[in-house]
Amino acid sequence: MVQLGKAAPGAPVPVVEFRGVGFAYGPGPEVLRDLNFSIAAGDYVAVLGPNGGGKSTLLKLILGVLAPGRGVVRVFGGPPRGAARRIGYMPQSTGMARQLPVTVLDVALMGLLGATGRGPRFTPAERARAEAALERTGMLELRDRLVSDLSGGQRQRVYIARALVADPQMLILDEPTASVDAQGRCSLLELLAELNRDMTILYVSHDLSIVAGGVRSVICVNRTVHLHGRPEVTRDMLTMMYGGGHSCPVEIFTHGEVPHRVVPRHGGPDCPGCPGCQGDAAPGGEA
Amino acid sequence: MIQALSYEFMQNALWAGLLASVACGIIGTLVVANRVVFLAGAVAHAAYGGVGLAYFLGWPVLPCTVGFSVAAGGAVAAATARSLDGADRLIGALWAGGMATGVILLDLTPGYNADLMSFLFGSILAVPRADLWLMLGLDAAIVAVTLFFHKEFTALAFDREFASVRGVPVLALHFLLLALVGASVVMVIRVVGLILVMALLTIPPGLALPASRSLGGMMARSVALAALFCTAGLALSYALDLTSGASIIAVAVAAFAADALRRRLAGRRRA
Repeated sequence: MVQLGKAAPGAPVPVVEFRGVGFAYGPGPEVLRDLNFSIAAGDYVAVLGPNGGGKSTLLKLILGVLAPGRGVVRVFGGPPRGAARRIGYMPQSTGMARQLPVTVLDVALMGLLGATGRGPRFTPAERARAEAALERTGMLELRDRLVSDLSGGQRQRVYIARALVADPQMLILDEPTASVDAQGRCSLLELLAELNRDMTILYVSHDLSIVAGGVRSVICVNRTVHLHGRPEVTRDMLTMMYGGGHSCPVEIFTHGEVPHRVVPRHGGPDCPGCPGCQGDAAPGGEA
Repeated sequence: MIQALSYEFMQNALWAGLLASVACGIIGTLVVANRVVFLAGAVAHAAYGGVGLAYFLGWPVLPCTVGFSVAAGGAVAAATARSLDGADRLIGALWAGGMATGVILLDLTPGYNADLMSFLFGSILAVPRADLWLMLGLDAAIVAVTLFFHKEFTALAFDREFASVRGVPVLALHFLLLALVGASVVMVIRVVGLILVMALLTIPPGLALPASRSLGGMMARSVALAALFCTAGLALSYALDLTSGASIIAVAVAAFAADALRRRLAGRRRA
């Protein structure tokens, strides 16, 4: 095995490590190239980028669903396929509830698949684990309800419980707030900040305002990847994601402790005069 | 009515209906839950190619048709393995192609003037004892496989992407499901015929769905409903001298319409 980390002996292994990774679907052009970054244990990363920028492909590389065309992906220091069991995954949901006779507890139990025995039923011990996971996301009371009867925000919490039930060391969420109202979104972000005490979190979104929701660092994905070790979106990142010289002024509303906006240029004509307008750096998270 | 059961062909018909109901309820539930109703339709119609092949080669009809439709299920599964996009084009071709193959093979079979109607509308009154045993065996296999993969099939129906990340062999299960569809439609064709198979496969699960709280419960209700429709339809066909397959479906459709009407009225009362 090649020593990839080049880390000093005894240094913690990064949870996710990309070295010179490129990926193309079939013979087409590379949708992701020159990926070099690593995510440390305990981080809470916002993975941002425009639609079609490669966010989902990046996730699939981490989950081992896709193999890189070039370079090496390491998850927990090993190949991604073997690490998938240690990852809690919440796929993007369309927001549509399928009418299926499946209860909240049934869904939470699905997070144990791949690690459960044969036989038509889950064991009492497994059901207890699923109930504990539901308790953690505040959904235990609804365990016997049909998933199709829940609200969008409740359903997202059930899906987080399903991701948590196998005690993952990393949680990956793909657009978890897409079908949730503002209030549900705030309480979801609170829950994630709490879960981050125990595990690494990757939060994928095209909505830049989640940067204010407690993340520790930001990854921008648009063909390639930039990791920014602080919870802020800089002008460079905006340019990378949405192109330079945008005629359309980019303005993002975020609500941290103080509601504020992120604009491309401070003190410029398109800055409405935000409180953080004294410095050069764009305001972010706890501005 | 009771005296009807003293005829062996009536006993066999009742057994065939009940055995087919087991397959219908279980596989129909999986088909409806996985939204592959029209893939199942294609497999069912392609099965007619198996009927033609059996007569052409002089092989026993039921086993040969089961083999053929399981293979057709595999072909449908392979074509839709990546996504269901574009599946409708394939379904169109397979649906008609299977039937055409069957008709042509029967044309080419010397000296045999096939009773096409019995395959299109079922021949439950002419089921021999040997076929009942084969149907029982198929039912046992379907129940065993479904129990063994119950958790996986539920996850497959609910969220295929998540299941695959958890290491569930979704592709293999997709093939297995359509192979099971292939095996069960042959049984159902025996009872209600090719044209009516989709109704018996989808109406009982459709009625069972709103009342069920688990996939297993939905299967049990579907089996019971299918058995009820088969028995009532058979009695109706005996009493009024009607085609048995069509009578069974008429009962099922009447139940479906009554349920829809009841729902409509209940909704209006609430509003």
